[in-house]
Amino acid sequence: MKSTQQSPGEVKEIEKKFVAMTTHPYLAKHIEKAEIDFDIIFFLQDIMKDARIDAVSKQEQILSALLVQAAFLTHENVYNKNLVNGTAKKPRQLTVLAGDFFSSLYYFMLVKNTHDDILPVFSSAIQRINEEKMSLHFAESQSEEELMNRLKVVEGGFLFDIASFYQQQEVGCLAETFFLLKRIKHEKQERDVKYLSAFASAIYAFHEGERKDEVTDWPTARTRSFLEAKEKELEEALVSQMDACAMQVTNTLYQRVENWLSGE
Amino acid sequence: MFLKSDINKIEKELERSVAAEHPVLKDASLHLLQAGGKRIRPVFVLLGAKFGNYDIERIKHIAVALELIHMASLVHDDVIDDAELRRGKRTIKAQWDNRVAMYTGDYIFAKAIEKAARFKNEDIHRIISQAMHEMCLGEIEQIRDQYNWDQSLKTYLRRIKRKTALLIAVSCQLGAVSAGAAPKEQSRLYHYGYNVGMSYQIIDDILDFTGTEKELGKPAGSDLLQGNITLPALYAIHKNEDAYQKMSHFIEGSKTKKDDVDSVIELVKNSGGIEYSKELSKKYLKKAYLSLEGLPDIPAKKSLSNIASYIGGRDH
Repeated sequence: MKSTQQSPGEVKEIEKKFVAMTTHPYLAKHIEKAEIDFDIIFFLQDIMKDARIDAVSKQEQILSALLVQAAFLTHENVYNKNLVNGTAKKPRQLTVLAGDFFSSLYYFMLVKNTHDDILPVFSSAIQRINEEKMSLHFAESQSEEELMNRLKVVEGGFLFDIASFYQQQEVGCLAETFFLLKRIKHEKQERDVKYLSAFASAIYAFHEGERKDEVTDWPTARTRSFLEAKEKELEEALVSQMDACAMQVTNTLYQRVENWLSGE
Repeated sequence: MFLKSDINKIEKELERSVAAEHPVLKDASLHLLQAGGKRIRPVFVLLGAKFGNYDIERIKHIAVALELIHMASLVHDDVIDDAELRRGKRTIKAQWDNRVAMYTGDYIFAKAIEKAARFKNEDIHRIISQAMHEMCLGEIEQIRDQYNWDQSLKTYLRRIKRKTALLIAVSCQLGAVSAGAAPKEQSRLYHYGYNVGMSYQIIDDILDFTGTEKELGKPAGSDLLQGNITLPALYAIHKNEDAYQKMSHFIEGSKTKKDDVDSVIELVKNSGGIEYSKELSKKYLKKAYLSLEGLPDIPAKKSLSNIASYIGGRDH
């Protein structure tokens, strides 16, 4: 497999466009701006490296995927807490609308230059992920394996589906493991959280036997040891997936993941 | 109505479309579907399509996509408004919770795009995606403009265009586009839908001041209580200093007394704002009739005209 060194300029350009598209002056005043996930860019650049589409189309599809991810993350911040005060409601109202706004942008972006073939991949992935979110929300997992599989779909299923579309299943599997591990590391570090994320809430419910949105003890002893064990398992899995992948060590994605694993 | 059997087909297709695998997702979507609604957008799609090569098996997917977009926005609107009831039924967020409502809305929204993706027609996608984008901007601006007592008529009109008129306009237009009607007819149908939608929303805004709680299903003056400044209030603000002073005391986050709302409703009614709004609504309807004039004389044209008349005569 040939090496694919992406130019930093290309990533910068995507970032610039993402910021321009997602910045709305009124939203910016009241809620946090959408964060770009650079790992998504690197994974998608690798997934699409052999695709028979031009550079502009690749960039548009990457931007669309970033917008979907921004919509997911934004809507994750809509909690169940009752808000009595009208002023306190505003950030929640705008969070709902910002997520919808990003979703409308991804569709807008994909149809602008007729990416008809990948549009159904996006929409079916979003449906599949929401189905899994529901199962996690209602704590339906009967085993740890089932729980992990659902969390994997929610965190990395979107990239997996895009990778499958481009016949890059190996990188898709790598993406699922990577993004799940990344989330576990993030949740493990969360302290003094009052409202659990949907991800943390699913793990909490599985281990503590009840679903809670508001907690004072995250991570509990049980959830902490679960997260630590899974972190270790996933790190090992990621390393063996990278070895198994026909990816050269000079590959940008390979280097990025390796650096991330070694904490650089 | 001569479209009844086709509307039933759309209803069935809608049910099929929201048949998610997850039981709560399926229940929540069906719950929303069964809460009914007038299916006004599908009706407009079908009527628009009558001006081209009408094929219900093809057109129904556009009608379903548009209705799903509308449904998804309602589920999220109920989270935004913290609403417990919609059309007398518990909202998804009330029956389950906010997260379920968010997942359901996102799921339905993706389903709508999947439906639209069946069409390999660039125009169709461009029209739907632009409409969705503008609707979102409109909703953000609606929140931005709450309690802004100095907003202009132009701001109000742009808001109601995005809130209501746009999806109706696009429904009429897309019916025609998907049936391959002539571009001139597509454009006339768009303008008809836009004008009917504007008129419809202005009347809705009037009824918020003139209707009773029983007729409206919510207390009169609800818009004002939420800080939404509609045309009758906007007129009163500009014409009556007392109305401006009283309304500007309605401040975001503070509890407004019912007596204060009642007194403002009276001020608005006495300001001439209701009559002015009725006049403007009639002007939009007149333009809607004018848009129909150039269309061929087929039964669908008569139906569109009847809908406009019904909207003009609506009193609750």
